[in-house]
Amino acid sequence: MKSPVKYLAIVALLAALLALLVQNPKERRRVSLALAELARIIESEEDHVTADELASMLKEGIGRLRVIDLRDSLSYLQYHIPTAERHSIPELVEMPLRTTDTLVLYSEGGVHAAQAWMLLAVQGHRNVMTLKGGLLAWMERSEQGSAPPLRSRPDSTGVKPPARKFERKPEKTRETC
Amino acid sequence: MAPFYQFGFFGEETGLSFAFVIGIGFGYFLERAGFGSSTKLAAQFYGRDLTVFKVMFTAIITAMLGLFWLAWMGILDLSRISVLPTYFVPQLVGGLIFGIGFVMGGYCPGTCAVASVTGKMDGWVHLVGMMVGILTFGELYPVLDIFYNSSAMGELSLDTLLGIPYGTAVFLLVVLALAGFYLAETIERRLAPMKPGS
Repeated sequence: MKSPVKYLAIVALLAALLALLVQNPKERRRVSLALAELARIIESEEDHVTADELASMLKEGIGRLRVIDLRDSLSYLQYHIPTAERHSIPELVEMPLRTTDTLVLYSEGGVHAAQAWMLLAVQGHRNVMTLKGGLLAWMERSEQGSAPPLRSRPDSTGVKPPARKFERKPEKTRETC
Repeated sequence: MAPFYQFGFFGEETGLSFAFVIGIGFGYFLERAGFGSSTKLAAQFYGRDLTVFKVMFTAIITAMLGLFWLAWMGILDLSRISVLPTYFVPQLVGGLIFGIGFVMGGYCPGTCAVASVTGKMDGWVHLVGMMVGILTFGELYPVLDIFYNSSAMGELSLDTLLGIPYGTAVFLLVVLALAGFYLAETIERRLAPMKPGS
């Protein structure tokens, strides 16, 4: 081999030998959190979107809006917000998300959505919002005619969304989040 | 923190502008490396000139070591790097078709674009053929759909496939590449055409 190539080969070999010692750089992944900034966003409720605002966003068709339903798949099949896609929280944090996408997360009441929001914030996503009051708030506004009615999938069990406001059932703790 | 696009340092339009500039740079260096010549490219299949093999393997190990050490330094988040999923049989067939086209035409998709802009007619013929191939594939996609999506194996990487640590996979690939370079140069020396008077 010619001498400059030989030196490059030595450098590559040394870098590879050190890689052999380090083994897994993924374990050294650092996450830097701007805690003060996140606290300010939470305090000012910039991370929230109301049912009326989400309805307007859907109507106007703003670019790259993704509505994420965090409930279980059966609940999703029964009824969900128009255009919503369902993902569990573990799926959501593993999904490749574009930072140019605007994500609106919702769960039944909003707790799971808030928890998912925090996990995405840790990953560096900033264009993420949660639906204020969760699906319950959307249904309330839908009844009043401010938001579009919920949809169900053609292959759903045929269960219609509740026509009237419903109260959370204490035994279904996971779904009420 | 990289990838810059994924972390919102710039939008899609700016990202595409960067891609354009990088593409021009890539084409320029391909041309300067002599990859605008079908004779040089086809010579690798006869063992006379293995520059393509050496350049490609150099690019692979440079990118691999770069990704590894940038991730180690915390500059790059490897989980945000997109990995193309493997469809074993369709990609094997696609690779064979690609190889046959490469031997027959003397160009791959990138190098035929390089040859075209430097005014080589065979490059243009190859480029037009490639476009016709893409169009034909697109039209036949409904028929090929099942085969195209068959034997899906997900996003594979060498370390997970072999069940070895990431660093070991990096080391083995670099050793393999260096051994390959040495072997390539030995083959070139043996099969290179004799110079007049030598």
